[in-house]
Amino acid sequence: MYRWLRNIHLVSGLFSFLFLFTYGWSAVQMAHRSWFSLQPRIRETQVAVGTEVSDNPRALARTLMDDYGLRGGLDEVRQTSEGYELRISRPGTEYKVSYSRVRGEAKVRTFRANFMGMLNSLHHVAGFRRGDGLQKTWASLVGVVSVGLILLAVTGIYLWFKLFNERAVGIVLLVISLTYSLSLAIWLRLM
Amino acid sequence: MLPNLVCMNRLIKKIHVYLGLLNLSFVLIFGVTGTVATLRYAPYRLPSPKQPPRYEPYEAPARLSDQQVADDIYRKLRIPLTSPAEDWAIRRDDQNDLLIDLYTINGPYRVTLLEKENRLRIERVRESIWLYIDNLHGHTLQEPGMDRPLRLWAYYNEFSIWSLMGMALSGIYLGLTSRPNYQPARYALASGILVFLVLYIAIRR
Repeated sequence: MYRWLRNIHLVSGLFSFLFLFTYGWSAVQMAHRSWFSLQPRIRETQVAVGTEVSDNPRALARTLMDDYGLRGGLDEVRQTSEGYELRISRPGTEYKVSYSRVRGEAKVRTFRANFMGMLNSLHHVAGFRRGDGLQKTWASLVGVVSVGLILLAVTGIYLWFKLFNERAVGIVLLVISLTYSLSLAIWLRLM
Repeated sequence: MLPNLVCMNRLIKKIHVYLGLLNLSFVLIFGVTGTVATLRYAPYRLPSPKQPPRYEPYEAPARLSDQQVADDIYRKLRIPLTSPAEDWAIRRDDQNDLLIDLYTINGPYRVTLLEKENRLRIERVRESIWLYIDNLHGHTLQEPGMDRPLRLWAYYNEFSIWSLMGMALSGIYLGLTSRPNYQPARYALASGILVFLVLYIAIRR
């Protein structure tokens, strides 16, 4: 049993290493926003489009995806006095498109996240409701790593308990941490 | 193994174990949050309030904007765990009444200013336990809210974020040095890094 659980702890921990480390690092960024710059790289292009998209933002989005290589989900459409605006986004990249009926063209502003911005985006990718195959693969790995984290905690407790000479200090630390966290969590829930 | 390396291993193992014990709750919270987020199929919808609303008298000062009235209501109600409403949490409903969501870690208080009646309708929306755990995992020092338990939780969260990285680094050291001939461990590490990098580059592209 001990050997079996030790192997699970070791293998799941090593597989999850880079995921957990980057989740921790992006969490540091979110907790200390002033420490890092999330300034994206911005590029602007003009695209001439036919009149068939003048009242159809979805058709324009599709044209931009098929002919100009934009990738992502269409998640914001807004009418403007000149035409309409839409947003296509995927983790780390966002396209803000303004279509003008008068000029018959779409202005595409591309925002490319830097490394920290990309980690921040990936931190928020979860679930299978939206996104392409790559995002869904990432989401499934988030699930694997999350279950792995629970396994690491459970097997870790068992392995520590088997290290007899570490028990006394360990029990004190465990009692302190559980008392602190559980009493706060219950207190906050009841407020 | 060399005596120095043995000492080093013991020390790092101790740090790894102690960090794990000090952060057990948070490691479980991180794991549960990720699992729940993975399994959530329906888009998030705020649940309906289960308790009947309560009413309080309130007359909005005539010269204030909606944002200023929201701030005034926040100061007047002094609801625990809330912070002043951001502009996206303030809007008008179909009857043109001012609607203010005062968020807490447990879910928002929905406050409606019934201006014609000079009173406030206050409804409490309580999130499920899973969303509560999600909120706990995301409550860092950056979040608003000055209530003592929230600040104490944010400090613990901060400690746990750094500890998670410490455990990851010490774990990789221990995994590679304590059983250097155990092949599945090396394969697991290599495949984890490879999968991460391939996906990162493909999504980034």
